[in-house]
Amino acid sequence: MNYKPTIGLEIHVAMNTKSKVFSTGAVSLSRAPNSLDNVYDLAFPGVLPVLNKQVVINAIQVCYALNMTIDKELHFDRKNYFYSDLPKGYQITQHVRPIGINGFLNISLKNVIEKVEIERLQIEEDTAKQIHFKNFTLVDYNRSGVPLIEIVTKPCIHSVEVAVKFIETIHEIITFLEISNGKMEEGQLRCDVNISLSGEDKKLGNKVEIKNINSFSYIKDALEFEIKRQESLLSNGSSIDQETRRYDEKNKVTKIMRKKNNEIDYKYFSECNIPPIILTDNFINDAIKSSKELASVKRYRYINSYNLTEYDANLLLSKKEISDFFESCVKLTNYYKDLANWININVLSYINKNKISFNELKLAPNALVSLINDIKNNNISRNLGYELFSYMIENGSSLLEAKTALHIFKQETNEEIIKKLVLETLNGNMKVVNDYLKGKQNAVYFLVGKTIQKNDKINPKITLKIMLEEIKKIKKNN
Amino acid sequence: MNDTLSVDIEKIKSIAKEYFLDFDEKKDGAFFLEEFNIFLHQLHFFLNDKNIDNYKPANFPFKIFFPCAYLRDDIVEDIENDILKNTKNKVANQIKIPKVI
Amino acid sequence: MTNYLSLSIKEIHELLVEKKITPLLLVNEAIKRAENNDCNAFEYIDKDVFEIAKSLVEPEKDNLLWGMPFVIKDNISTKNVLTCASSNILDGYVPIFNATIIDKLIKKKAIPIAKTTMDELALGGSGTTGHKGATLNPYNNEHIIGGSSCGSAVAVSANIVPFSLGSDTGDSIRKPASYAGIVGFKPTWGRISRFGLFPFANSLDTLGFFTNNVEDCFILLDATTGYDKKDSTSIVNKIYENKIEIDNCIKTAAVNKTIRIAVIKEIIDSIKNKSIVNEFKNILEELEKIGINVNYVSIEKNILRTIFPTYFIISCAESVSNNANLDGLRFGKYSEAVTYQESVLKAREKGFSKYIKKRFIFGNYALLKENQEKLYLRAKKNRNRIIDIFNNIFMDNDIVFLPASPDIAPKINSIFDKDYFVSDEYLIADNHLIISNFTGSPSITIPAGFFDKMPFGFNLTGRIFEDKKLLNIAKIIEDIIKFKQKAKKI
Repeated sequence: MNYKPTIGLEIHVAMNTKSKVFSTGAVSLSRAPNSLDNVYDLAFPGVLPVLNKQVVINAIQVCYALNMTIDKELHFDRKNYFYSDLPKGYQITQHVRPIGINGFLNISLKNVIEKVEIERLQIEEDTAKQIHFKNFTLVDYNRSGVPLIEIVTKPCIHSVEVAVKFIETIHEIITFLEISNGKMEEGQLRCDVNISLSGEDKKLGNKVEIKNINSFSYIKDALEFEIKRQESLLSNGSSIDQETRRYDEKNKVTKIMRKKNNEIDYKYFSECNIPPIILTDNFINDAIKSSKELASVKRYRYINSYNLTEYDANLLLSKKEISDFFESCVKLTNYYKDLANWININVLSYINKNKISFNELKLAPNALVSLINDIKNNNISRNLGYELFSYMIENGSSLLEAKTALHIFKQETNEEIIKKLVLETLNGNMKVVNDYLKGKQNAVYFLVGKTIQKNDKINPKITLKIMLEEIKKIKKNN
Repeated sequence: MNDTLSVDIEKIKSIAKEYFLDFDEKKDGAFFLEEFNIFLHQLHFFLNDKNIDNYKPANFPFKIFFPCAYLRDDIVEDIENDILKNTKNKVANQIKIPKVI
Repeated sequence: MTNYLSLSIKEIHELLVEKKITPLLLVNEAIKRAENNDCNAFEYIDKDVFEIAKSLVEPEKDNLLWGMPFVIKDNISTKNVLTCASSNILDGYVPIFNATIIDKLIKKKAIPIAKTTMDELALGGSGTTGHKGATLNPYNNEHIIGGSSCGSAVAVSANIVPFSLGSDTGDSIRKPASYAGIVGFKPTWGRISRFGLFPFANSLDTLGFFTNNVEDCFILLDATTGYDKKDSTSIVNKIYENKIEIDNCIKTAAVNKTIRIAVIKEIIDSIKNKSIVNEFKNILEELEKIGINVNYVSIEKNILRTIFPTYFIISCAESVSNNANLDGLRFGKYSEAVTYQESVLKAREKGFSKYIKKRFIFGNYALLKENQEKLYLRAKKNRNRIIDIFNNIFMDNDIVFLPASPDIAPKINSIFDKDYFVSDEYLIADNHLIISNFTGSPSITIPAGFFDKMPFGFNLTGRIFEDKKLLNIAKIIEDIIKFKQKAKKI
């Protein structure tokens, strides 16, 4: 029997604003424990929440990118429960009126476009960080109160591919909007998945929640495992228990965390320390207008204005830092295709080989552009270009500095010397010369390349000029 | 009506436990039960008044709203150096609590 | 020897400016009186303030609060000064920040000399549930002084300081003021920042003052109101700016001609102590003589009987959430245990008294999924209805005027039988002050007279943001009552 999976996603995104959502404590990953705290973050008696404007702006930008209806009034609620990482004993969230509702994303896979409907997007606060030891737990409140947005899809995803692509798209959106660093390993993007299977009777089975999956590859593995697990249980006639599971990456299985017997009663009620916040049309429009450009918009431009292939565009857009770098270069040159190749092939392989992040790259955009321009203008050969590139990317130098360091500054422009080499090449490659005379135009570049191999300091432009002159002579003589 | 809102000591204990409150049933059980029943008694007019349902819940005493122009700028302020001054149980500048189940 | 501390703020200020007295002298006297007071009114007396008092040498002529000693209810955050809201769970807690109201008063060079006792975490109205036991009435130690701002009421009533800070969620300033024979003022909700006030029920909580006369309330109102970026609900100061501006311009003389006073029939009828009712009616006659309109208005008894349960549901429910941060882990009394869950359970079991536990349990009950609709949400609907009713009354009237309490302060060992708590005297006459917490209206109790040598007061409630108009009218009535003369006779 074929079982159809129905998947719903709950994604939490931690924002990278300077201060927290309801307090003026600082948002930062790598700082000493409890060094970023404001009195609100430890929930001392008498503290009050004060909403951060930038959080609202960021949330509006994401809502817009997700095609959501934006509520013009902001309302907050309290979700009440006790846990050691929740200092107030409640979390301020948006239960009744989330800032965004009824959105969607079109996920394209091969030749199919799947519309994933998004139910809600709400603003809320993060909990403290805990480190559990055998007999005690340490709590660090730096993370307590960090702004979160929670994005909840409708249970309308029916394949693992779409689910993974959806999460990747969310990652793309939040990083290109620059509202989050989106690092799953650091908990800045967290994914909880709900899956249930339905058989031929189309009745939806019990749903299983898988929590705290903290990498893209694990999401695919976890989902595939869980679907198989549920399928085999159903085929054996067993039923699926409604439960919460977690993914064990070592053993590549999902494991039970707790049964969802008693739903926790969070006793939601309205947060009375925050009056309804009125968002004017101007505020909302300004927030949307000030959005950083989305990857989807860039993709369109790269393909249609710069004539790049979809493959090239996607590589450039795989990380915001890469596309930022590309766009810095684009300001300085029109050689889009060459630029894309140099970045996608040469720069990226350097980064991968040396295991550094793009932000650690020492190569400056104008340096790369000047190199490409030089090659395109035939001032230097391609091989020379590779040599210079290696030096420049390793040392963060300009083209001029690289040329000086590699003693390439002085190009050989002496026509007598070049002519001698050209004649050598012609003598050893008469077949190619004949090809050229018969009409194979490109053959001349082969000959120029052969000549440069003899001395890579010779000026390619001049070499070509002399090559054509000499071939003309040969033709005349024939 | 009031009858549907009765409680027994078991219910009171479970409500308290959920809120991380405990009490000595022998010493104070009767007190809580009695007080609770007085409250339920006091609810009589409140529960039976149908007119109440014609109104929307009031979260605030009067109309109050917060113009977006006054929203707080994204600035870090008031980071406290001695934020753990009142915590006796700490290690490496973190709160040390007994193990969490 | 004159007890300067029994004078009004204005009078004390004049003496300070004329350098006939100094802040140090005042503080010395105040602390001495606080230490010798036997009403159990103080949590903590701050001797460090002598240095501050000594440093105030040149009086600021235009600053009426310069060098003025005062005391603070212990649910208000004071930096570096023990604050425990009369609860064991906050044993040893020393805040690292001031409530905004404290910052404002300190900026004015007023001198806070002590933290006062209260009902535990403000959840009470008798002044007997604090961890140090009952606070007593300075007029007669056999009587309580009400709550929850009991200690602050004592401090002014016993002439220890000329003013004190309290908080009022259901009547916690205005009822004890009546029992203590002093002025108790609760301004419009939101006007004074609540940053630093330990929360009980956020949309009902209001900071306010005890003073010896109405005039002093003007001074304190001006010094403590205003938009505070740390309290988003204080935005009312901005969005109702126009109303406040108009109110600032009201002068007493102008007020006289337009005053219409509403008296709620059914509330008067629910008061058993006929001496108080008669005294009240005498005052009404005097008011009519000077041209003030007195209108008897009617609110159905069945509606009035829903006020207390509505308040109790909303306030207990919200207090549950507002006190969920008290677990002894980050501050307060830590309980050793094997697990986190046990530690918190133990800390809260030992740290809270049974009186506050009962309210928490009821509050949780009202918030349970199966009950929220018919209890908590319905209570908020009823609040809306009562706000509506009151707004209607305010269409044709400027203030509502009623006895603040149906009787004098109860004796400390009073036992009330179960029937009392569902009687009209309790539900209506003893709890009508709650209405102005529902509506956020400014409300003030002024001392009115004596019965059995114990004081009682009358209460005025005005329209929202007409705080000064209310105070002006209160002054007129204060002048007619002449309480100080009555007090001298006792």
